[in-house]
Amino acid sequence: MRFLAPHLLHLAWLALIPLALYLFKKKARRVPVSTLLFFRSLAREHQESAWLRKIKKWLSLLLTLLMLFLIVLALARPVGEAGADSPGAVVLLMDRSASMAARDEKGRTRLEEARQLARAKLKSLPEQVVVSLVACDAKAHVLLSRSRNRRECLRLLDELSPRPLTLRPDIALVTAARLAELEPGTQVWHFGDRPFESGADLAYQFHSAALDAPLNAGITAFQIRPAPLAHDRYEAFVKVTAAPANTRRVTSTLEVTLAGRLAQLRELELEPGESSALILPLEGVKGQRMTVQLKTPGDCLGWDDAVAAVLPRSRPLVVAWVAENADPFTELALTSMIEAGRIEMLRGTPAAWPMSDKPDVYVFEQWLPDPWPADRPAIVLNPPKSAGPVQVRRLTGAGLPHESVRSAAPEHPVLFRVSSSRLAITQTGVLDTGASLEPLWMAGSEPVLAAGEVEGQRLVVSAFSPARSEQLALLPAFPLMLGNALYWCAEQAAALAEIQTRHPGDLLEEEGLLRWTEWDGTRFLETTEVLQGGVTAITRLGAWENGDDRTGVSALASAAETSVPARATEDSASASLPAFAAGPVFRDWPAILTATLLFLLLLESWLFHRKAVY
Amino acid sequence: MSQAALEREDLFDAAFLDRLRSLAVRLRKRRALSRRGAQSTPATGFTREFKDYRHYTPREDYRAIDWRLYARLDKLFVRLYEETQELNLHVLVDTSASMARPFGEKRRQALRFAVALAYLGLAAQQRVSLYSLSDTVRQELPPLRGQGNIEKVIQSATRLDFGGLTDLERGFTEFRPTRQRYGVIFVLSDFFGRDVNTASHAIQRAAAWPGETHFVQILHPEEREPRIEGEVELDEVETGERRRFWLTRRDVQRYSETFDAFCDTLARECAAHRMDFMQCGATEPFEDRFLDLLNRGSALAGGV
Repeated sequence: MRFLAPHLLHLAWLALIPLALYLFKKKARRVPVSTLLFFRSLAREHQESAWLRKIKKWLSLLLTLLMLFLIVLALARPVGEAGADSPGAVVLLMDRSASMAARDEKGRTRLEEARQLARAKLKSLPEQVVVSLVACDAKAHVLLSRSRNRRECLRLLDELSPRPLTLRPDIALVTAARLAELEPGTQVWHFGDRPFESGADLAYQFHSAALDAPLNAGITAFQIRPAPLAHDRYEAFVKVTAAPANTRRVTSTLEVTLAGRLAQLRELELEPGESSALILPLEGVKGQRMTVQLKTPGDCLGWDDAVAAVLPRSRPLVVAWVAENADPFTELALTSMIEAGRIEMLRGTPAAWPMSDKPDVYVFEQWLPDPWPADRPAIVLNPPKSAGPVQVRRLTGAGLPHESVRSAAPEHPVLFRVSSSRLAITQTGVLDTGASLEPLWMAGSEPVLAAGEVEGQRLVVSAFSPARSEQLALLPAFPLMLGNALYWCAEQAAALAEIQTRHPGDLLEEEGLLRWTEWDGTRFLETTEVLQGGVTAITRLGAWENGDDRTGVSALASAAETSVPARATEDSASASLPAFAAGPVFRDWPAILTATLLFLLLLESWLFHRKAVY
Repeated sequence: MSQAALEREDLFDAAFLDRLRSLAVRLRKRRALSRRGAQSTPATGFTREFKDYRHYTPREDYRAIDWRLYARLDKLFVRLYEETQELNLHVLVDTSASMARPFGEKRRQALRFAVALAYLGLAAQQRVSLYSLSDTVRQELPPLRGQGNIEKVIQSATRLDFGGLTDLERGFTEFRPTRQRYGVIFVLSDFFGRDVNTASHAIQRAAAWPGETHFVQILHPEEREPRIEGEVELDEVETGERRRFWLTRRDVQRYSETFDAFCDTLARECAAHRMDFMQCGATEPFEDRFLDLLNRGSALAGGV
């Protein structure tokens, strides 16, 4: 027997109280009476047994101490030790993530299938086996802990429903492992659509509720933002993925509506497992609602088929530009963004450093502060020396001209829609990117543009002089690159919080009435939700607006959940675990303690009241 | 000042004796208004008081023939004389320990009753005997007559030793006055025996006593309704037996019910055998209760 709360065993000192009371108890008052005649007849009903009279003093103390001991023992939550006669326990891991909402041709969800499997397995279990029920999605919820109450377990099973959340197998397994530690011979039965890969150290058994031939395509990424250099223009990034388990190539239609009108229509053909990333330019005004819906014939999962968003009303980014010698190209790029209303600029010279106002992003040009400010993301253009995380060796003279530049990471957000073709630049320094910075542009074998995170600070460093570079080609590329860099650096800033795509389960700090354009898996609904304030977890898919014109997007956007798996030909672990045999009746220590305590109370009551130990 | 003297003052102080005398006078006056002569009986005897004539029948004592009447009427008549009978007063005082402890008021009340009764008897020229009753019955004073003997009665009452067990059956069996000692018997006791039925059996034996019997049960209020609750060790004063009880209010109530049933049984038993039974509280005013006793129609009250 082990104890889950052994620190409560210290309460055993309470036994000293009845012991002291017993040792220092007040003696009965002696009262002289004329006759015991009538008292004797009164006591006839309460006549104590002679043997009881002899042991009553000790018996009373003993029973009190025993009861106290049992109570302390029960508080310490004992659990049974491993033994040969243990019937063991089962931890039911019920997957209720988004993919469990996939329906078969009869319209049954995978969770319903899993529930049916679980009910059948539960009925075949011996009564003594202890059952725990864990519902897992992005978190693991222990709905029933170590109980023999099958009826309660079945009731909780019936209450389960899929949630638009991404499954976290690691969390589910940790919870299952902790529950398994409490009871020897615990088997973990996982009911879901795909087995966990790292459950090998557990007595793990997977029961598949997956579809035999699933067909699914869904939106696995979504992001909307204002175009950096233009008014009333937005860019939506949408990634569509076909499930790898699809049996055939699918043809999907992507419908984009803006303010209720069809804005774009794209047709995609996707092989199983194939993804397609789209950038959808949108022309609209802030506050308009847009929806993106993916229609795929035979699609089994609806939650990943649509996204709704409100064109964001983001406030301008505040950029602090500190330059020793301002490059006209930089000034031109930043000025165009100011005109587009995307940024507000705090311009200063090194003499004004440090700044009293705190911007969203620092831009240092041909100058680096010392000490290095690590509190904001920074864009360092053409640094003259090394400082902080920026390690550069300045080239002597006018720099090293390069005829062409190669994109080392064209998918990086900083290079979004930035063409590097026909760029001729003049390198002014040699960057040491180290392990934290990723080279984006390479001039020859040297990086001239790099980006990355150094100890949580986003950083973009360029080592070329735009003024001395080929101007014609750099003219459109450099402002776009700088705008991208600003947005990428300030991604976590409060100014851009509204355009971040959130997921169900994320925490939302809102209060009051939220108006939702909610996606229920089949259609969009206009709903409302009242939040009492504080932090609330998002449970819906769609777009919301509150009374203060704050908006947000909640989308499933999970490649893992969109990849609805197919049932394996053979459940790998289904036959590997031994069947449970009926064990001894008493394995539940709390039940034993409670029964003993009850018995002692009854015994004491009978001895000292019914039998009147006087 | 000795302990006996102290107790004597406590029991029979001068005021008590004064009250007793005035009580006796009041009783005498009351009797004088309703009756004439002292204790006449329908029987004839050999006193000097002439009562009637009757025809002589053979085998009668010829000395009783009135020869003068024979000379006048030529018929034999015998003279009948008034016979007066001497009354005996027996006072039995329970001297078991339960009469003195834990409530000394019981002893005081019993002795006051005894002395008062003896005083009335002596004042009425009756023969007064005092007995102590515990495990047996003992005659503490030989029959006394005359008011002047009251001091002897008081001294004897003061010297009574209260202790030991109560054995009512044995006491009542051993106490058996002869026909010649016919009179009024007063038993002053709490009637607590070894068993609930002991007192009833003893009363049945007392039914055989010659004369008029009065039982006066002297009780303390706390004996009927003890003011104890919780865990107590009860110590019986007569036997020294100790028992532990956990008494609740309900237990005390049931005790009182049992006690009342005991007293009711005693009263019924006395009534069944035409004996007087009176209950007297140890803390009640003595004079009121004593008058109550006399008003119950005692021959003693009639003789004063």
